[in-house]
Amino acid sequence: MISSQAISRRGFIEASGAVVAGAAALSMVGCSSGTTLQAADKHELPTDPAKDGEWVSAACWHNCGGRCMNKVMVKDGAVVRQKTDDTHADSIDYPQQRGCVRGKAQQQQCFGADRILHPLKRKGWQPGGGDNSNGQMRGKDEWEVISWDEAISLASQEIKRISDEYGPTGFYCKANNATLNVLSGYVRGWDTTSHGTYTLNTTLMGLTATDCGTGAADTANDRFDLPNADYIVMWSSNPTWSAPGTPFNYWLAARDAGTKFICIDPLYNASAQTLGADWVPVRPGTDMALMFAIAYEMMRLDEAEGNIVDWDFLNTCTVGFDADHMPDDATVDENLKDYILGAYDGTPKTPEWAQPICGVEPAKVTELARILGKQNKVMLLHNYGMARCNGAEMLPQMYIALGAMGGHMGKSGHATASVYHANAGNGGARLVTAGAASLPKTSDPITTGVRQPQMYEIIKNGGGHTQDVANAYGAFHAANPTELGPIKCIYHMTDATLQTSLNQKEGIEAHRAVDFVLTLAQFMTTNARYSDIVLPVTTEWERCGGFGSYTNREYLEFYTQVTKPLGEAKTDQEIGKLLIAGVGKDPNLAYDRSEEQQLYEQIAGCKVMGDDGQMKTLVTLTAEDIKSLGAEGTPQEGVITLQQLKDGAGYQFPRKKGDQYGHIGFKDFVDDPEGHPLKSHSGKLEIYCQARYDLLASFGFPGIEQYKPYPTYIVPVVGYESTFVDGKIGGAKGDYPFLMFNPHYLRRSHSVFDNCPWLRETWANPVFMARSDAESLGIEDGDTVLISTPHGQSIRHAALLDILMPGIVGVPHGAWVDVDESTGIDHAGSDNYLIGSEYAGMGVSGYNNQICAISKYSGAALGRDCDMPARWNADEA
Amino acid sequence: MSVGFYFDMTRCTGCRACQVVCKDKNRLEVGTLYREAHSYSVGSFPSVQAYSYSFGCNHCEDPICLKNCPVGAIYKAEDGTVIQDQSKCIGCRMCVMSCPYGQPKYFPEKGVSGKCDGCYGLRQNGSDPACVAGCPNRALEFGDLDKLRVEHGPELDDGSIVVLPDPDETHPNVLIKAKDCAFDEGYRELTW
Repeated sequence: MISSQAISRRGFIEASGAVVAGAAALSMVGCSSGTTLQAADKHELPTDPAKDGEWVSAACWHNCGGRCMNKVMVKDGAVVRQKTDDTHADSIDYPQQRGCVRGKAQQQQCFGADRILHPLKRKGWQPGGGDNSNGQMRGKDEWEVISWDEAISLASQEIKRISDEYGPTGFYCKANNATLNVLSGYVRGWDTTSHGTYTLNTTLMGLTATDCGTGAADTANDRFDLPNADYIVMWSSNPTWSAPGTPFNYWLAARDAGTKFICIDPLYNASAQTLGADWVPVRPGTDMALMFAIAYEMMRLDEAEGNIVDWDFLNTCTVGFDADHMPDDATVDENLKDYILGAYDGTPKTPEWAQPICGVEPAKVTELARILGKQNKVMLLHNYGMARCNGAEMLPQMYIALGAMGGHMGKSGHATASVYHANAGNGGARLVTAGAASLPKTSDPITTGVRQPQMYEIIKNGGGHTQDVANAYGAFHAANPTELGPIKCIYHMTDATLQTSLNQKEGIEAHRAVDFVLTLAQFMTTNARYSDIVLPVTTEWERCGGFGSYTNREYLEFYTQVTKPLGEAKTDQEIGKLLIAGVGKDPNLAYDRSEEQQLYEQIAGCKVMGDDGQMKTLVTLTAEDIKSLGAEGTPQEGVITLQQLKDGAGYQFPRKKGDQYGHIGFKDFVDDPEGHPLKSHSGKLEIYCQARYDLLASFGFPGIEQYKPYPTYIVPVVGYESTFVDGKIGGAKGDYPFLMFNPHYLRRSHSVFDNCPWLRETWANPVFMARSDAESLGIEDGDTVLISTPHGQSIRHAALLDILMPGIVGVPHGAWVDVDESTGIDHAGSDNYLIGSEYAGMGVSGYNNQICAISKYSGAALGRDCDMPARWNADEA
Repeated sequence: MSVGFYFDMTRCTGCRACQVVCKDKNRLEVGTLYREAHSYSVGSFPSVQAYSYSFGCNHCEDPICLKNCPVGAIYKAEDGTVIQDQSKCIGCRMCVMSCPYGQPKYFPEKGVSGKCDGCYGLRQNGSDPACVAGCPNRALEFGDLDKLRVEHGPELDDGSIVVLPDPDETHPNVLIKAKDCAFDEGYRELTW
């Protein structure tokens, strides 16, 4: 372990420079005795610059969900190198858990020269509210370093004042937080961020919650089953960018075994390129139109040629496909089949009907319909980009209907499922899991939740009406109409909300409207920049260790402490305790045990799958081990030692093809629908789902009249139709003629890593344009372009691509907004600065079907991001 | 004996992990890359194919950097690795200018050049070069060219894909499992 004193202020850069200088000095010693010419013969061949250091298992804990192995070499008091898994020989059966491009730059995050190392206060802010807060200066003001005592005193005083005056509804924080539960309470925000419309209680239609990540009930098959598919349809799916550690190797193994891939996406993405997939370009937010057309063609081909639609599967495993198989709670006498055939609106959903909407050639639709037929083994594997679109509410029901029409569930080689995070293409029970620490249970004294983007309007207006339908992610309830009073304080404890939620421009205004903004941060993040007090929080490298919060089916990451906290940074728990004590409450209400004790509890609770299918204790802990962890507890017997857990940077469950740990999604249900019913009302997959519709309708959000309890085509509140003057496809184009989507991008994990110099150099973050669009606008590759929407403007370099559908613009997700205060134009390409808060239906956030205009920028050209000064320099403090 | 890289284009996703892991191992600041991955498309919408390539020093059979170094700072190690003795470098940049692969890099602030040594030091300890060990998709290998050729079959390209210069100049020690589209002259770089 290294001390913070050994790290210079500039942290990473100087520490690494010192190591390089040391290596050079070593070479010079080797050459010193010879003349220049003789030196060539005497040159010491290179040695490992990290020799004699210590490899430490280091956290890579971000919201990529990867959970890959990361190790750092600590030598002479500095991190001199990283590496990934080399703990065992690499094979596809038992692969090394190699990390991605971002994890390799993790050192620039933890030891970044732009770390915030001391509590900061915005100079113009004073407690007391009103003019004292000088709120308009947020994001523009100067900062001063203050002591922890002063920071906690100021924050506590202000929180107490607001709490006394307004109660818990005077505060807002997006995410649940133990500190705040005790400190003051708070109104929460909800959004459909990651899983889009799959957050809308998909359990009601028979899926798992959000259709992913639930272990034994996973709808996706085990990775060894991927090569058994004839075809894998990657719908809205790019695993090598969205899950870039180990998972893509499973997909490559399927390709090598002969599986054919089809990519349905606006972009011929990196995964599709590598797999040699057949590309079906589709406009963002129009996937359902394509699905209806494929379903239409499947029925037409089935009638004409037979052997396409698996009627047995539809009849036994689903309800709502046709009039003869309706659920008993249906209140509308309509079904999907007759809708597609045009019985209700006179419009059959033919490929010719769909083409103007989704842009897919009718012949391609017919080809897809044949492929999806019951004679083929097909896996329909989706990610969630298409579900993060306005109007996508019923997409989960249509997607499952399409899979059911070909009978693609419950059998080897067949799946209709999601691919997500570390388990992308690898469904099934977790084979190794971490334990949980037993902290006191806390809860927010109020349950009010507001749709996140609407929150900003409520804050600016000093309160207002909200249809409270959720206060947690993916947990909706019938609408509870609520009148909110003024919100005076915004907390950012663990989130990146101001950067990662849409309606960012109004979000900045809302931050300027309150009395107090408190942020815990490692860098001058967007949250921090618009705050009043910023408390420096440690990275995971500075903490006692842990497992990370997502799970990889086969590998449980375990990391240990790399360094003592840098500067004056403290852990979330330490800060939480100080704040709670600051308002005169007992910190033990939230945190009654040390972080070391919690780590011990997590280790002690680790489980691994046994031969008998039962989970067993993983780690043997002796009394000495427990003492070494700084904890109290009882020794236990497991299958590996604590040292093995550390040396292995966790534990990887050994797999091999044909082992007993395979998994086929929906198998029990498909084999015996009556004996193993799903959790829906009917016990079947509900293509028509009354319960989900009734929940949706109870929200009373705009546009609900378009919806039925089964999938129909919805004209989105903002979407492709909005690019036309009168909202009619095929008419004259309007002021915002392009459709904009926000692909995940390898520079960052959402907003994390966007400040790391190596990653800024490696991934330049341009805006993606189709070559033909750019040429028609006189835009050349590398030109600085202005992206305009009804809500904001950004400038970026243009990347002209032949692999992007014309008419579509890609603004990579998560760049840290950089507003020029004189023009209001963002220079970073922040996706959410360009998106407003329009909503309809369930209130899904339309991250991927906004509208924009794009033009050559007449102002000064942008330089490279990696040459821009960091937002913050630790030396400033 | 010759050593060099095997590159499996059918596995490379263009993620550029090799680029960053190389910067880590060699402690390279922004502005200097010993290895870099680029992606290219062939064809036009919607009939497109794409591929990626990871560029680095090829430890050439006839290294022109070695030949042109006026002070003899670049030499071949016994195993064939092309190595620079930076303490002898006078910063004349002859190597930088003569390498058709643009590989030795000049460090203005230090007044010397530097280059990939195939992670010679790591290999002596039994490890792979950092870019090989760090590739999440197992697209890179390093070793004795003859052995790599035997292991990966006779259909490998010796550096004639269109994004590389003519291999006849320096005879790069690189073996590429290439996609057919990598021989199409009508390529365009994906500048994303």
